[in-house]
Formats: sequence, structure tokens, C-alpha cells
Amino acid sequence: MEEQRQHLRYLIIDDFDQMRVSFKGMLSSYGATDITTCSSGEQAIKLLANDSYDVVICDYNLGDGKDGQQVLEEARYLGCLGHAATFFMITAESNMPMVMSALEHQPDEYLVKPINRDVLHHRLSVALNRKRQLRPIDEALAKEDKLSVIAMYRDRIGKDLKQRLYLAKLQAELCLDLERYEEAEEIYREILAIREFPWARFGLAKINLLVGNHEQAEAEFRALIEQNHLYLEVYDWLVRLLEKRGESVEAQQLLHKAVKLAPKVVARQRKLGVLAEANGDLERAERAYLAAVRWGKNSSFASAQEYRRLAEIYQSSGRSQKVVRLLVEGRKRFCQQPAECIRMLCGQALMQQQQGLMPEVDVYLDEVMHLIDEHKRDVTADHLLAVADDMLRLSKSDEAHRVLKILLSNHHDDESWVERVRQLMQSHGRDRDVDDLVSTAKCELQDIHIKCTQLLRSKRLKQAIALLNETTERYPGNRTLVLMAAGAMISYMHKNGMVQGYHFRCRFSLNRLLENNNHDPDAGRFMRMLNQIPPEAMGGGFSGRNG
Amino acid sequence: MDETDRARDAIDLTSAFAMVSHDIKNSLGILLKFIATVSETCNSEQCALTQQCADMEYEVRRINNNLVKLLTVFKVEEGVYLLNVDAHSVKEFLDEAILDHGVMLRQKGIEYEVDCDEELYWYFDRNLMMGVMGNAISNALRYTNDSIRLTAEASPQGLAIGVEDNGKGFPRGMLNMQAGSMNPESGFLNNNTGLGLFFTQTVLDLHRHDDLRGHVKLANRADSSGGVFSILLP
Repeated sequence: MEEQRQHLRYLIIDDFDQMRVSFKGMLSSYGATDITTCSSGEQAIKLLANDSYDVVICDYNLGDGKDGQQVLEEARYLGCLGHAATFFMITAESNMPMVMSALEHQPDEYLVKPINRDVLHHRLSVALNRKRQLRPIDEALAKEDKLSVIAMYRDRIGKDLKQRLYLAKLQAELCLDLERYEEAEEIYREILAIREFPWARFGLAKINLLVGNHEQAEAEFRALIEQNHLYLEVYDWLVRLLEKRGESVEAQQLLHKAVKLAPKVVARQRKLGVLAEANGDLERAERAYLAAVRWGKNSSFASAQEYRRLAEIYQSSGRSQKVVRLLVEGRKRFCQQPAECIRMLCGQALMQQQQGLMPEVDVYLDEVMHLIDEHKRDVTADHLLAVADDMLRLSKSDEAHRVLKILLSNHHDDESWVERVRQLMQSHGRDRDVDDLVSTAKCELQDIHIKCTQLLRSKRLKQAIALLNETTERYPGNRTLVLMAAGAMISYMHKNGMVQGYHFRCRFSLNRLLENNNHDPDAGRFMRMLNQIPPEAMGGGFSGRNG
Repeated sequence: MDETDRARDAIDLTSAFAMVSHDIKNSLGILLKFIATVSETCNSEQCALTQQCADMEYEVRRINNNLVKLLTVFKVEEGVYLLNVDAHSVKEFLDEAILDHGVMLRQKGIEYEVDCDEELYWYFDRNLMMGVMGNAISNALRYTNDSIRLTAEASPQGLAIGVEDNGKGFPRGMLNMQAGSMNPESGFLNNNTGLGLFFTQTVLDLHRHDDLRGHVKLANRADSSGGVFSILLP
């Protein structure tokens, strides 16, 4: 244990000098030698992005700027908080609305002030020990893998009820995500037989909504809110239900209540804006988007959407000065996020057009095309569709076609995207261009797809891999071909032993897929196969030796 | 709408309380650190500072306990307390409760013992119960002679936790008071012990489960060799 403490890397985040000194002293006497401190959430994110830490001790209250919860969420979102890291949140009192927040948004441990040395040492030892036990589960990437590791672990955990309850909760949430509702329900019922845990009751209500028992679900959501009006996640689910039923006015009112209780949640503010706009309540929509922009400054959940919607509302009420300022501010805000940035640039182009400055429009659109080309991996189909919409509004049909062609090339075998593109074109009265566009875009990729399939069938692996890699270089968003390439490289390595270049490429692209969707079953399966390839030195034929 | 507005007002007041308590707790944390530093510099047992450090630490803990009591009772009354029940190792919990008073125990040379099965787990809101324990241990430290003992045992009615000291025991007045302690008309809230008992009962009531209600009891050992603070947590 002593050994381990010394070799861990510690990060202390507190805006109060004295507190940093105090924590540092307490950690030193615990045996820590590698301790970094910083005084703001912004600095913390930079440190976390450039280095890995094993233990993070973060004060919830960090003055102006990001708070501790935002640091935690952003660090996890950016993937710079490793699975092995233990995050301690320091609070003045535990009872904040975040106590009930979703599992993935919770720190590993809460520590309540004031904290003395003995207590900190005790909590560190207990938490590090627990974390060690859970490591195999944290390390499992795909959700199916996590579930099977948990099943194995639950028998080994023994009498530790705390771990058992945590695992049961995790297991139920994973089952929900994987749409294995019966299994999830069984777990929640087992838990409720022990105690009336609100989160288990909430789980059952969610299942009812997901399987279509809307009345039952509504009664349960309402009962949960009745018992605990601070359980805000329930509001989101009830809103979802009300929307499904078309009761958008009530949905808006409910979300408004939730937003009043916790104004900082950007996604909820944005959602309220969208609902209010749909209900024709522009005043409420404006306030909600404005709040989303405001709180989004320190949040990783900010998007260009709230800026664009707010700009539209300003524009429609003739406040063009505000539009200009807002769009400039948004572009600055998203200068590190190309996918969001292109939406801001389109917004600026639209504004120039409205003011009759057509030459300026092209300047912005050139930049958009450049960014799309430069950041193929970051710009998703949703972004592309939104950009194409803007371009059609600007009557720039050539550019719109180019953007939609990229989108369709990335989804050449997915009819739902073809349909969405069709709807977009129709809404701009361009029905006649649709078929032409779809067929040219799909043709090239379908040809390549067929050719690769033939090459693979005739066992010409190397040729197939070369063609696939060349194509996915151009269209990294094409999941089908990315997976095909990974499969081909993996089977090549299984036969001929490790190839460093292939291995690296596979890991990179599979990781990207899992980042986008961590229950992508194919990516998870290929990742497991990739991990079974023995390292280079062992070569083929010795695969059983390192067991 | 009325209801929402009331809820929001309560939250505003709560967040004001939260901000102030955050700040006070920062200061208390720093004070504790200073006290620990000073007490580490005087090695000899005769050092006059030793006793003063213990006294200071005791007062800091008292401020904190009172703050916790006040905030919790306020929030429960306003309906804005979010109960966070989870499974906890009772041994780990009691160890932490006693370590919270580590400096004082060392300074005053008080022996302590935690008598609890390592494999005993229970469901409760950790921070609320930590407040209850802080209050009880703080009291025991004040009146004990030279040792305190924490015990925990599971029963069908709930988890029985005891805080025992070997002092002179609770004064008769206090023991009499607890009979009517949960009755506001008795005027129990006029003194701090009353608030402590009220707080403890409030926390236990939040843990009501399967129609089981928890209770708190003060008693003296028959041979008047100390007091026992005991609670039953459903």
C-alpha cells in the first residue's frame, strides 16, 4: 500500500491558497510525492488534458468560472480522466441537487468540509482499494463487455454490500442502454425489495416509458417528483413522455420548473428553448437560449444551436446589432471545436446575406468548406445536414450538394440518411435534384464496397486493405467501411502475425467508433479480437504462452 | 405556480445558506490545519499549548456540528433536503467518525475503541449520520474521563449504534428532558442538547423504512461509570 501511494500522481484543485497548502500537506503525510495544484477549473482542464493523474481532489466551489462538477463532466467528456483515476469532490455540504445526478456524472467520492488529515487518509485508502477492485469493470470498453465482467465480479465481491449495490445499479443502467428491459426490471425489483431507493423506482418508470406503458410511466414519474421535487432527471423523462403525446405546452411548463431549480444545466435550457419556440412562446425561448449561452461558457455541453436559435430570434425582432455580437462571440467560443464553428460561420454568412453583402457570404462559406475538409473526423452527419440546410437558404446549391455528397458517402448503405437528405431537399423545393445527388454519391462508395467484398472473398487481403484504407482516409465517417477495414486487418494479423501499422490503425479507428457510441457492438467485438493478437515478439504459433 | 415560487424562494435562501456555510467551513478547515500544525510542534506532554490546542479543536468541531444541525433541520423543514441513502460499511463509517476527532483524542490522551463487525453493512445517508455521530462523539469527549467506545450491532428493528464514555454520566435533568424531548412545547429547543436530540431524531425519521421508526436514547450505566448515547437506525 505504502509503495502504491508514493507512485500515484495527485492533483489538487482549489481556488483558496490556504486550502491548497492544507491538502498538499495532508497528502504529503499520506506518502504522496507527486502533487500538482491549481486554482481554477480552466487550469485543471489543461493539466488533465496534458497529463494523467491517479487521484484528483477538487473543490466544488471554485469561484467564478467552472465549478467542480463542470470540471468533472468536461474531463470525462474529453476523455482526459482515465478509468483508473479517483475523483474526490469536496463540498461544504453533501446535499446538493447533484447528489441525484446520473451515475456517469458523479464523482467517485464526496468529502464534506472541514476535513482533517486522519479522515482524508482513511478515505483515500478505502477509495483506492475499492477502485482497484473495480478496475476490470472500468477498463471494459463496450457495454456488453462491462456486463459480463460485472456478472463475474458480483460473485467475487463477497459481503461488501456497498460494492454490490453499486454494481447492481451499473448493471441495470447498462441493460437499459442495451434495451434489455426485462433484465433491467428484474434488477430494479430486487433492489426495491431491499429498500425504496428512488433511483430504482425511477428505473422502473423509465422501462415503462420505453416499452410503451405510458400511463403507468407517467404516474410513476409524477409520484417521484411529488416525493422529491429536486430529482431533476425525472423531469426530463416526464417531458419526453409529454412530448410524445403532443402535450408540448405542459412539457414546457414542467421543464421551466426544472430549469428554475438548477439553471446551470445547458442541455435542459436548450431543450426548453426548442420547446418554447415550437409553442410560439418566443419570450421564454429567448430567455432559455440566452441562459444556455451564458452557462455554456464554462460547460462542455454548449453547442452552436443555442447561439444560432437566439440569433434568429434577435434577427426576427430587428435587433441586428445583437445578432452581430452574438455570432462573433459564438465563433470565438467554438474556435477549438470545428464542427460547432462551421455552424457559427454559416450563421454569419446568413446574416451577411440578409444585409445584402453577397461577396462576404463566399468568404465565410470557403472557410466552412475548408474546415469540413480539414476535420472530417469531427464533423458528424447531423452537422453536415444542418450546414447543407443553411447553404440552401443562402441559395448556394453547389456547396450544399458537395456537403450532402460527403454525408451520403459516409452513409452509403443507410436508407434513413438518404431519407433525411430527401426531406431537406424537398423542404427547399429541390425535389428534382435529389435522385441525381443520391445516386452519384452512393455510386462511388457502392462500387468500392462491392470491389472490396470481392477481394476479401478471393482472399486478396492486402489489396482489399489498401483500397479500404485509402477510402476511409477520405471518408472516415463511413462506419461500414471502417469496420470492414478493421476486420480485414485483424484477420490478416491473425494469419501472419502482428503488423504494427495495422494494429495502430485498427485501434485508432475502433476507439473512434466506441467514443461515438460506446455500445457499438461490432466495434466492441473487433476490439476484443484485436486484443487477442499476440505481440510481435511472440510471432504466430505461440499464442498460448503468455496465459 | 404558487408552489413553484415557494420552492424557488426556499432554494434561494438555501443557496445563500450553502454559500455562507461553504465559506465558514473553509475557515474551519484552515483553523483545524493550524491547530494540527501547532500541536505537532509541541512534543512534550507538559507543553501548555497541548491542552489549548485540544480546546480549540473542540470548539471548532462544535461550530461545525452546530452549522450542520442548523442547515439540516432548516432544509428538512423546507422540504429541500435530498436524502441520499446508500449501502455503507458500518466499521468504515465509525472509524471515520472517530478519526474526525483524531487530534483531540491524541491531545487529551483519550483511548478509543470501535467495536463492530468488519462485515456489517447498513443503508443510510452517510453525511446526515456523520452529523449525528459528530454530535454524539463531541458530547462524549466533553464528559468522558479517559476513554470512549463506539459499538454497532444489527437487530431486526434496525442498526443499534452506541457511543459510550467513562465519565460521570448524563445529568439527571438531561435524562428527564428526553422523555418530552420530541415535543416542541416542552421548550427543549432552548438548549443545545435539545437541538442535538431533535436533530438526531429528525435524521432517524428520514430513514423510516418498512414502518420502522428509529429512536435515540440517553442513559447512564447502572454503576454510574459513564453515559451511553444510543440510537436505533431502521
